[in-house]
Amino acid sequence: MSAVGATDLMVRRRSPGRVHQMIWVGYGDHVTPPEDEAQLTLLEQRFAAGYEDSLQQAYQRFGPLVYRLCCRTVGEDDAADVSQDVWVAAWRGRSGYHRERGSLAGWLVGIARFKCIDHLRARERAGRARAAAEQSGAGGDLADTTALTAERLLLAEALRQLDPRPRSVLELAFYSDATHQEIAERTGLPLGTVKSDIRRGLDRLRRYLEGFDAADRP
Amino acid sequence: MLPIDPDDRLLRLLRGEPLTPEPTSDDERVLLRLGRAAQAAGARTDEELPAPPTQIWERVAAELGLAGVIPGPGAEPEPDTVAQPPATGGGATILPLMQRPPRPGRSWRGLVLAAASLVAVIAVGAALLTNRTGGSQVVAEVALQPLEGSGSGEARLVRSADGRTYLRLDQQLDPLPEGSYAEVWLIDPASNL
Repeated sequence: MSAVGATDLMVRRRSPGRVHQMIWVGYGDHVTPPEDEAQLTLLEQRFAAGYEDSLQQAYQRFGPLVYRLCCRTVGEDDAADVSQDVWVAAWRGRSGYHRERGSLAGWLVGIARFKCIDHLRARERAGRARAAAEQSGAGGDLADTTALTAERLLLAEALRQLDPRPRSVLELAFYSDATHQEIAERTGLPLGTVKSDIRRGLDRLRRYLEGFDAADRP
Repeated sequence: MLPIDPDDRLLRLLRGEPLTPEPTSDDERVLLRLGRAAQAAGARTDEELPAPPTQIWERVAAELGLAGVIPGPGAEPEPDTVAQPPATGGGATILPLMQRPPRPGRSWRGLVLAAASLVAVIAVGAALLTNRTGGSQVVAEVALQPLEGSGSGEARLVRSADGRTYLRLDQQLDPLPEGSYAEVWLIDPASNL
């Protein structure tokens, strides 16, 4: 531990004589994180730390993703109920989220996956599985189908969260037959930038999958 | 058979194309999994997800008994209070707190107090402290809590003799790698600002 000094910052107070709770966070691997990435990092940290407002922030950010998964797997009629279960379970089980093990989005979708499977199995026991499968488009093994749907939606969400440039590069990597050099020519970016965008983008996508895998059945 | 260029192999993994030898390492298996998910997702990743019904959040908040239920995502959020990029003045880096309206598509309501180069913080801090000790009054103080890693610190609201208010940060933390920096976030969980 070493003293690093002190500083004064000009501040406009919101209420006289009051200092809000302070948290400081250190980043060790980059100098200027994109604003959105920094916000997401703080959201994950605050969710794990149990700040109530972080639940709503997570809901605002990832609620549509969870709801879409529920719609795709259990059908629109039950999607709201299952979504509710997911968020309640996520908050009650927040101690199981560790951001070093993956993204919050992945973890939430991982929980949603279990909730959807449980719901489908309950319906199956009630003899309504066939109708449910027809309604949701889900067939075959419930767990595999649900997991596949979850991964697909999660990957799409992860791509959406990337900045425009790496997202475009990565979409060409996924969805075209272009080589790295051809991607560089199409985007007008240096070859090295294309390669680093792909690698760094994949690292971020991977974190979503790691969060998904880290989710325990609630 | 000629060896496949590692870059080509990466793209083949992402596109779900046949590979010889088959993926064996954990890294390659993850890439293959990402590729399969991406292929299943299709190229329309810019498709907006439909907003869930507003009652879901209300029911979640009610079931969890969250204090002071905040309006649902469909409601207009209150203005954020976020730190602006550092401005330079008088040889010191000043981080004024400003309010600005929410940007479309952003739902973040947290308060970012300051994000500054640690080097700048150290360099500027000593000079500022020297200049502001005379006639200053501490009107409030609070301990800093690291969310990750270790360290400690204090923040004080200080009113200077000329009536201006400053936030003074005193912190200790483990040495950070070269080129890294520390961020300070000011959050009031009660008001969500």
